[in-house]
Amino acid sequence: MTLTPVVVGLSWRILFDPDLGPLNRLLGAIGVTGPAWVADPRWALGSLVLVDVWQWTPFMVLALGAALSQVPRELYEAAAVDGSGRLETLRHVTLPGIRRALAAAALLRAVDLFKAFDVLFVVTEGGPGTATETLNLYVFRVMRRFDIGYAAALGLCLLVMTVLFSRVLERVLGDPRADEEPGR
Amino acid sequence: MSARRRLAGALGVLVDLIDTRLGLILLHGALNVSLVAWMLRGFFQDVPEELEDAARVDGATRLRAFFQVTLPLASPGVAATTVFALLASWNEFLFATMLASGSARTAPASIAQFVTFRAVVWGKLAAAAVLTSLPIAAAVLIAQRRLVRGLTSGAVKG
Repeated sequence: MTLTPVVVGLSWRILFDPDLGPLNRLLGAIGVTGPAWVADPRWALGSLVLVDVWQWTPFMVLALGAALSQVPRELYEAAAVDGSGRLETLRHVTLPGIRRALAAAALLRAVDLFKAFDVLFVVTEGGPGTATETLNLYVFRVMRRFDIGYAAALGLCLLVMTVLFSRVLERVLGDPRADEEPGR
Repeated sequence: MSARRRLAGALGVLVDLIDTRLGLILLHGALNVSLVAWMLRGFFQDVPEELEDAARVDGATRLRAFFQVTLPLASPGVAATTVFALLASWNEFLFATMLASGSARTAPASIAQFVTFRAVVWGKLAAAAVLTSLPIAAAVLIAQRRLVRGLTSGAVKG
């Protein structure tokens, strides 16, 4: 979470190396032939997702953990008295209790991923081929061949998409800023 | 003095900012202002309004009530936000590589340059990576909880 994304990307680049990487060495030690990770178009995107999950799990734990500890104990007791099962308690007590934190965290991460650049660029550069080329990286590639007009148009599209997406997400999850108690 | 000429003049100033520290500073400020505002909003909201009202009743001006009552109470949050902005600017890669590849190159951009076409200089790269990550990781460890709280502001009440 606090590590420089470039450092994260480069570390994973070593880990992912199909022949020399520790990841496949480890898998080999338990008798599994590991995939080529980022060198294989079918695995590349999944590998990048793995990196992102690894990088941002601590943030999610902190954010949602803090929210969880704020859900009043009494609600759980009341639910237990009313004979609610574990799943029902999760569905009707825990999730509504941390809804706003969930919405805020999801929104932050989603918008962040639209803008994701450093890790993707360092680990795969959008490759192999265009297997992991996000719109953001594509804009960068267009920009690098100095097709500035096209790049600017794409950038604007990306912005519009991000805004629309975050609006929809806000709708679905509930505005993280909304329904604060009156008087705050 | 046509509008076109003036536009070219303004662009010239912008071009002059490429690969200067000032340019990066302005840029990072602009990049972070939205998230910083989002975080600070939550922290200032945590300060009870009644305190400011009380200061106003005691004859403080709005500005004075803000600086002497609200701001000190929100200062831990302001500190956490500062760490956040520092983190974001320190780790920023895209603009640093694009616009400051020469004399104003930042640490992340420098690290990426150890990946050359011929080979990856792993030894130097690893050393640079550790040196880059350590100070900022230490700063964030101190402010961690508040930082996350600020980012998910409104979600958690302390």
